[in-house]
Amino acid sequence: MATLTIDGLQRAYPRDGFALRGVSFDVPDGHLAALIGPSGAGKSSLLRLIAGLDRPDAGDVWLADRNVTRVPAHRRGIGLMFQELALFPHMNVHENVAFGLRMARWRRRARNERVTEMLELVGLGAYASRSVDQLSGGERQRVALARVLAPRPEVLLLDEPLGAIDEERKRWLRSELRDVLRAVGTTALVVSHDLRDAIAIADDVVLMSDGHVLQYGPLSLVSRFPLTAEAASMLGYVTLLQGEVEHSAVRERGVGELGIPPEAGISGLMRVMAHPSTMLAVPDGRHLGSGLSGVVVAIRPDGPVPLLDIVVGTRHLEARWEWDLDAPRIGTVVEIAVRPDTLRFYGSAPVVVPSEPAVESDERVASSNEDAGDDEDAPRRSLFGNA
Amino acid sequence: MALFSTPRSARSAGERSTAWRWVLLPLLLLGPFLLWPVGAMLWRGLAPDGYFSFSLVEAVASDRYYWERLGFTVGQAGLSTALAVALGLPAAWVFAQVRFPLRGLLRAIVTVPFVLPTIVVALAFERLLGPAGWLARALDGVGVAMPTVEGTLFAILVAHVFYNVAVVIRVVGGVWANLDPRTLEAAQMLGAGRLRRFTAVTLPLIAPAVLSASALVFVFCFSSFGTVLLLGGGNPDLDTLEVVIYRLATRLVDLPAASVIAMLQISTTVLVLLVYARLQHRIARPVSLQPHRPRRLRDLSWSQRAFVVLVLLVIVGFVVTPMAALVEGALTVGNEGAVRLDNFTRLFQDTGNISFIPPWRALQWSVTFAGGAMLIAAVVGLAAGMAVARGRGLLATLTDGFLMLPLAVPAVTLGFGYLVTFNREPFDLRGSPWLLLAAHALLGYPFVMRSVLGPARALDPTLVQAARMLGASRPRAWLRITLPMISRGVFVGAAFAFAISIGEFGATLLLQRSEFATVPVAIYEALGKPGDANLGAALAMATVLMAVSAAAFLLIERVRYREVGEF
Repeated sequence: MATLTIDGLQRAYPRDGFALRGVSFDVPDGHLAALIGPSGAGKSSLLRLIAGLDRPDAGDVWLADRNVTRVPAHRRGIGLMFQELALFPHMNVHENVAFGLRMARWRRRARNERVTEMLELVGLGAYASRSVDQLSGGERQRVALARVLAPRPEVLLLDEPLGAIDEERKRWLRSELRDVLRAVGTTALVVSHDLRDAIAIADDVVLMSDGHVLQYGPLSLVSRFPLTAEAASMLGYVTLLQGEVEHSAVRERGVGELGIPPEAGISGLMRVMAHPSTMLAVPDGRHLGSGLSGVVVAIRPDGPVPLLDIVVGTRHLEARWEWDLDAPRIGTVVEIAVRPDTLRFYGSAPVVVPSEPAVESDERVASSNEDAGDDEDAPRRSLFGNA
Repeated sequence: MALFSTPRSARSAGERSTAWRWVLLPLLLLGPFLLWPVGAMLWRGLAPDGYFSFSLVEAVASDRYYWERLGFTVGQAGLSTALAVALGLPAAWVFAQVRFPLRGLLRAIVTVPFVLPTIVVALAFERLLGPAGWLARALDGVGVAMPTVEGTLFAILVAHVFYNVAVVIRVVGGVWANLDPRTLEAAQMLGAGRLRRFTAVTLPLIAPAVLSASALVFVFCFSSFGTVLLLGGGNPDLDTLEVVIYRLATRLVDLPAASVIAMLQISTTVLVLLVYARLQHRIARPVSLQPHRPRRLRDLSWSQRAFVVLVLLVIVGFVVTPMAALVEGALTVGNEGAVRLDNFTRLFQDTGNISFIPPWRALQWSVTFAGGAMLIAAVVGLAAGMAVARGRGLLATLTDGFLMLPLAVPAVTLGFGYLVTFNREPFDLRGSPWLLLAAHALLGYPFVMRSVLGPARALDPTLVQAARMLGASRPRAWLRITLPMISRGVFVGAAFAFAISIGEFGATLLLQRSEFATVPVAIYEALGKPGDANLGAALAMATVLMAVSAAAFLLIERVRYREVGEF
């Protein structure tokens, strides 16, 4: 077990017109980190560089204090679970799981014990002699997990481990995966395109987009304080307004205005974002909301209280209606209420969060863009004081 | 022969019921032209006096000569197979895993020998290794006497390896290229170095393909006829069982003994082909949907690059040299060393030699037979492919094996079967070109069937169902949806059938008459006569034949798409 440190990894893929541009982050010893990003962000490419299956053009991979950048993949002590699983088709379940142990020259007795232990761990104790093509998708997934865990890798990489599973079983498998990984206690990096996977299993999160890391750190911190508008929208935040700050309000022509606390100390062009979980639609004219109002154009039942589609000027927003069990009629004007301390402001000028940033001293928050020299983004780091 | 990796898709119950109808057409060809003659021939061996008795079998079994021939036939086939695999494996790796300039062209060149007529191959090696061949002349130049190669096992082995190395490259290379690279990467992530990855992952995964190719090569070499007849130089110690049957049937007229040998011959090939069929099922199916790109030459280490170059030099040299020697011979023999086209132009002149088969007539007959056999094979093979593709489970497997039977009956044995069957009224077809046509069609259609089977199985049944829902009747849906989607398979298979027919030697030699002799027979006849004029004519005809076969093959290469599979 070891801390995994990625330091300025670069690699160009000219054929795909894509490049990893100086990726840096670390996963502390024993932590479970989720690498999140849309498809095409470079997650799998990055994983292959960390695993040693591809060579970076520049940058280093460290396991604890060991630079493994030039160590071939099979001597790195990193385990990789492939998105396609890549089970050996000519071996049964037991032989698949035992393969890594065999390579590490484990004695037969110890090997068999370890295989049994691993299969018990993933709940496939009775499947040892099954052929891998007799297994269901979820079972294959678990065999792949047992196989990658068996040789006790120092660091575990999992590429979309829940990729091919249907929604229903995913929820259950997520918690199972988390329990297994926690039980093993290995440093792990789990790639997913689905934020919910990260929420369900990870301590830390690495947000990636178009070949670079947007932000990384403890999930609790990153999801509360996204550093950039892009990171925020990846975390589910939506844009309420985008406009100039005038007289302690952000104003956007044709949409409306939103009062902001004077202590925010912001000016210039600003983008105001909020998370849907902190937004509610309330009746208009009662001064309960944020001052932003719009017309209900659709009502979508979602459990006991409905979701409203609201047109706010030129912008579409979605908010829950909890005021009454009966939904307002279509065409009604409603106001949008947002917890003010959850509003996030993004602009070109230095900004600070409106409330007290609850940054615990032991949690690190940083941006990976330090090496990329993205000057436009740099000032926004002051969002967290001097993190 | 084909290596298909298509999964059987789910089929509706309605479609299954039509499978048996498709079998009827192949049965029309198989019944009278395979089952009956082969059955009659076997009956002749088992019941020489009209009732069942082992006397003849015992008589043959107690003759040491036949045991020696069996031993030799198996031995040379085994040795040829081992050599073909030893040479073919590295080449399969190079073509499957590495990208280099002219890769497609070189791959086509290296695999051309597979469709070359045996007589052409034999003649080419004669020009290379014979007393007046390139090697002898080259050795003579440095003052070394050329050891006699003609009439030795060496000559036969070299020729066998020559056109069977293509089988190894195609069958093994196809599987190797489809290996999911992630499987190897997974092994590497679990700590396996290069050698361990090869022995623990690659080798077990390609082993069924290697064994399967070996089984095929073994069958080809086991029933080798033309090569042995020509390169054996009449040395009786080199006779294979197939040659023994030929001699018994034509010279000694010991037909019952020939029947017993034929029985032995067929049971061996059937047995090996059964092993082959079993192995086909075990060949790993590619699981990755992303096509895997071979590595570029510059991604390889220096030692790997040197290896690639060495393998290419050896294999291309080995394949191209005999063909070049043949062409060179055709251009120079009889011209006092000058390069002239005389041998070719003379093919189209009437020499007035009555015992000689006019080459241009032979060419006409060859094309006629090949064209006719191709058409029959296309129709019958299409029906056979549909029958197997539509069928399910054990019945489909059995049907598949049954319809592939023509491959298990060696050509001379088949021809011999015809001779002892179609010799009485009302079926006295001796000396009829129709019999020859039937034999060629029979030998060709399994290739069409194999080519059709892949795309037919891969065909999404919902497409036909969609056509039915849009108002197409069942035949119309087949004609408008199914047929266009498998037509490339038919085309590729038909080109193979054409190439098989145009080079067919064994059965043709037994069934031909000089009125309708084909080019391979004409070459053989011309070789049996003295003088440079005859030799020149043989070489020129062989060159033409080689060009036609190679053209057919290159056509196949162009049309072939992945699903059509590998021969």
